[in-house]
Amino acid sequence: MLRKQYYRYTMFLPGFAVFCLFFVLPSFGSFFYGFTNLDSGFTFTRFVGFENFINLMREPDNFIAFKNTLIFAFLTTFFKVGLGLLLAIFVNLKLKTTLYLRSMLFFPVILSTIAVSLAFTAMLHPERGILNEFLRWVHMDFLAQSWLTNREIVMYSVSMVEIWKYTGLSVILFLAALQSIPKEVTESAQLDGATGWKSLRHITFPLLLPVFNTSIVLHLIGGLKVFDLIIALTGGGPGNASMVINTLIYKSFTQGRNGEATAASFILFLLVLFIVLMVNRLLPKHETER
Amino acid sequence: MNARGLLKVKMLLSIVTASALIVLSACGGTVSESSQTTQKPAAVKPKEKTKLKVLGFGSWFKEGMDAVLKDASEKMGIELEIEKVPEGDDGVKLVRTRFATKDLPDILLWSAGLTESQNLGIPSETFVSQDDQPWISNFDKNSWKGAMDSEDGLFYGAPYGGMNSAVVLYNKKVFEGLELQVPKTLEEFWSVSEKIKKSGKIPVYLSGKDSWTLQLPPFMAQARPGLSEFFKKVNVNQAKLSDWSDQKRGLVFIQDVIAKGYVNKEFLSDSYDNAQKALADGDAGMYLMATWVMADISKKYPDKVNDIGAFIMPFEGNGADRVGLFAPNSMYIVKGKNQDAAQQFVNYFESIDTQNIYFANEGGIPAIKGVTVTKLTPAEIEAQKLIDSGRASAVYSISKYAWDSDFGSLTQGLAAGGKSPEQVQESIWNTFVKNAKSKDDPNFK
Repeated sequence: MLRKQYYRYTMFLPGFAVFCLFFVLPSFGSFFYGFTNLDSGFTFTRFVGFENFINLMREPDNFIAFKNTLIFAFLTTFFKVGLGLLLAIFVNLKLKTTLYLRSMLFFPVILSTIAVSLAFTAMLHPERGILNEFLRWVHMDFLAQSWLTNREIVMYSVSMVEIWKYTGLSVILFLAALQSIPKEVTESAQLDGATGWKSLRHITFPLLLPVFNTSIVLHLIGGLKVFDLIIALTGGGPGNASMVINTLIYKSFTQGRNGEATAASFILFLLVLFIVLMVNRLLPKHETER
Repeated sequence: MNARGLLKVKMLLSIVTASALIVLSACGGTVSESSQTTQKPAAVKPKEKTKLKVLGFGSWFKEGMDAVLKDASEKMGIELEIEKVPEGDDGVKLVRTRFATKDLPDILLWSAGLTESQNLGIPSETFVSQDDQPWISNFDKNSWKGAMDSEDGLFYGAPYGGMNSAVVLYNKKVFEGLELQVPKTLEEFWSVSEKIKKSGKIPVYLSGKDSWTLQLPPFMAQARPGLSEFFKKVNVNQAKLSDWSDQKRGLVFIQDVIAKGYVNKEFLSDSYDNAQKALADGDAGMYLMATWVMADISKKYPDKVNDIGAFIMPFEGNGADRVGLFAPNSMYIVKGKNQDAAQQFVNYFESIDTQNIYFANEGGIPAIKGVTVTKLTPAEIEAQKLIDSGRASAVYSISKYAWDSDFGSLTQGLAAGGKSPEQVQESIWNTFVKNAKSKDDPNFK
């Protein structure tokens, strides 16, 4: 009996060791360094207690980064999931262009973020950008904006690019879920008189709920950890108007304050964990029994 | 152990030793190469050549140094064994490790203003002071105090490569067309800007998309003779960067020039490249930049290079303003058995004749006075005349801790209206204090 149990643990140990080495240790290491004055040479001379955390919270510029991260994560998740659901229902219809539309919707997801950012930087240029050119052409000049250089709207412009790029991912997730709904269920609902909106609300949506929840959580995590898009589109600017937590971490690292950077990484980790747990708790769990 | 077992152990040991050697040789990350001259037999001087080890960043060895090496081999009988390290943090760490382990070169090529905090040892113990060397009579020590000297006030580095200057670059055709004179005071500057604006052109081009370019106005304003004295106090917490009135003048200028409408409409979306085109084409009258931009303009718009001139930004007027100088890199002689030969080479390198050879093959403004052969553009020549007349000061001074790592985005924030000059200066001071505290500096407890 004992031997059997021992055997079981030997099978488990190598995987657990790898997990500890590459996940648990670095995670605890980062937590530990957040309480030191770790410098660019990765050496530290003393423990600074909560000084790094207090500094991060005290600076007004850093508050902007936290605010922007939350705006970006929730706004983009709302639109990526909402639009993704609508578009998935649309491309689930039997149209001649269905295959083409599905490919087109997913295409931005596989594009390089840097390439997308460069293209949008050109398209959103206030004078020469295609968006403002178009708005002026249709005599809607009042809508033409300095999309990436106006402090008031820059986060919304960046969010728009993210929504354009990643809505396709939600579409694919929802489409897969839609196609897995048994025909018998929808057909019997139709026989019972549930068509259109009623069928969508009472039959389709409850069956999509697990994917819906997964999609929200995935997009929230992605949104909270955004970095590449911001760096490539605005560099966190103008000034610090589009700075997010990850650009703040990057700034601390490049300035040689690695202790502060790891403290900020730890805050981001806690923030992601807290929000994801809360969202998971708040989201409805029950799907209709199949 | 029997003979067979012993053989197995020997084989195993051989394999381990061979593997270790392969790994160790692969770990040697630096690229070592001898200069071209080392491969040629000395045709002129049959005597044995002195070999000097030089350590420096890879991209610092270009056409200018190639030409000098050829000349040095022929005239001096000195042969340089150049070891190149990669640019950036990796290279810096590598050089520091070499110095920490006492694996020293004879000459080190490093940035100007070497201090103890750069972890290459105490300068007076590691490097040879250049203050009493003959070449220094052709070098304006006063202009470079606080930027090229060390904490003890001695100059350990000899200039290597060209310096750059922060000036107002202007389109002469625009000025001639509107019959404008180079402004000598800020009032005249605004008046010139107004006239250019009325003509339908952009008076002052700001390339705010590349945030680093917005640092140039404050850099120009902070280039003052008292800069090093001010930083001596800052370094020991007796003065604050938030009280830096000279720099503030440049920050206020950014605010004013935007408020007065003398800049390009989309100054936060326009780039350094756009600025070069606008200045060369005459769409913009003036651009506050360093002379390094002339190398790009020369390549892109060679037929328009002669249209561009340079003048000092008149923040204060009455001759108080200076050309902002960006120091050239430096050559440091490491104390050791070859220091006399290394000094001989440095004296040769800094001589007018050798500097003429160097700058005939490579761009940049010489920091050594009397150099006549250069590849300078008219704007750079005008800047050099201002420098030679003594109206120049270093942009930077030796700072114990970094303060400017975020200065570009701060000035961009100022231009975007999100920060005031006071807030920008408060931020740089906070950065400095934070860096001082992280190093446990007792003055910043």
